[in-house]
Amino acid sequence: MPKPTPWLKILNVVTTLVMVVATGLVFLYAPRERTMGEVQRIFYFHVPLAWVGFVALFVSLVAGIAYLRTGRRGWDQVELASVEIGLLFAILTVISGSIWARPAWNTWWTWDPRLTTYTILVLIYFAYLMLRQGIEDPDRRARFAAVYSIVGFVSVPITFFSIRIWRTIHPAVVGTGSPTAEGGFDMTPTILTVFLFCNAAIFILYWCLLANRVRLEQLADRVEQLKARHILA
Amino acid sequence: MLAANANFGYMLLGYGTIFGLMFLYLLSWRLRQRNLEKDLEMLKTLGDQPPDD
Repeated sequence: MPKPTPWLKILNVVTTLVMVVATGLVFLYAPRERTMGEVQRIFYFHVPLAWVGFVALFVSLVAGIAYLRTGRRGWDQVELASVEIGLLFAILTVISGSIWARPAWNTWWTWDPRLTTYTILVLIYFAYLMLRQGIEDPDRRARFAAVYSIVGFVSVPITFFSIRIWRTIHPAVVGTGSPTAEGGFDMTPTILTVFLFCNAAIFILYWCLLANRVRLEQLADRVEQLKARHILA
Repeated sequence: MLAANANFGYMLLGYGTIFGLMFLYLLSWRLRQRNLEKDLEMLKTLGDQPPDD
């Protein structure tokens, strides 16, 4: 595996520190929410994971377009890495949301528009990984995956705007939801501070994971090339 | 809705799940890296061996 650059080592250390501070703020500094109680603290990671997950899938869209335009293998590596991390964040969002929902809505799951569209998004990007597994030729695999990542991204804005388009019980953090939505959302300055810090922390975490995952993919590519050379020899 | 003082366990479950799954994902990286490095060593060794005549 290519040796990590000094910048990557620094990024790894900074990310670890930032995540520790974020966790500390969530458990020790953020106030206990009056209505929802302790379970509201899940929000400080649940929302950033969702938002940064969308960013990750946007990066995969950009990488897919860049690969189709340039044919450079590096873009395919970034695309795969970003989809994998975006999918991880999406799964964590769904699971943490479900755990929050149990005491808040008295159910683990409901076929609410936001939850349904998010689940479809997870399945779409899970299928992306399955697609890659099914194609042996690296160039063909990269081309198909790039097209899929571009088309699959349609699910992201649909999911994000679902609470504004359809009637839903899911809270809207930014702006207002559908006029027929139930419940509301507001943040005190302390809650807002912790929330914004956690957003920054998860954002930094994404870039750190991306850089390290691309390194792993470079190693995988090298092994694949050597195997192909060995088979042809 | 559960009373505000009765849902501490759900909060722990939520964060336990987030950190637990993240840890498992990073562990999978470590396993993948180890397997790839083993493959790389083996392929380099095969590449160094003279071809059979």
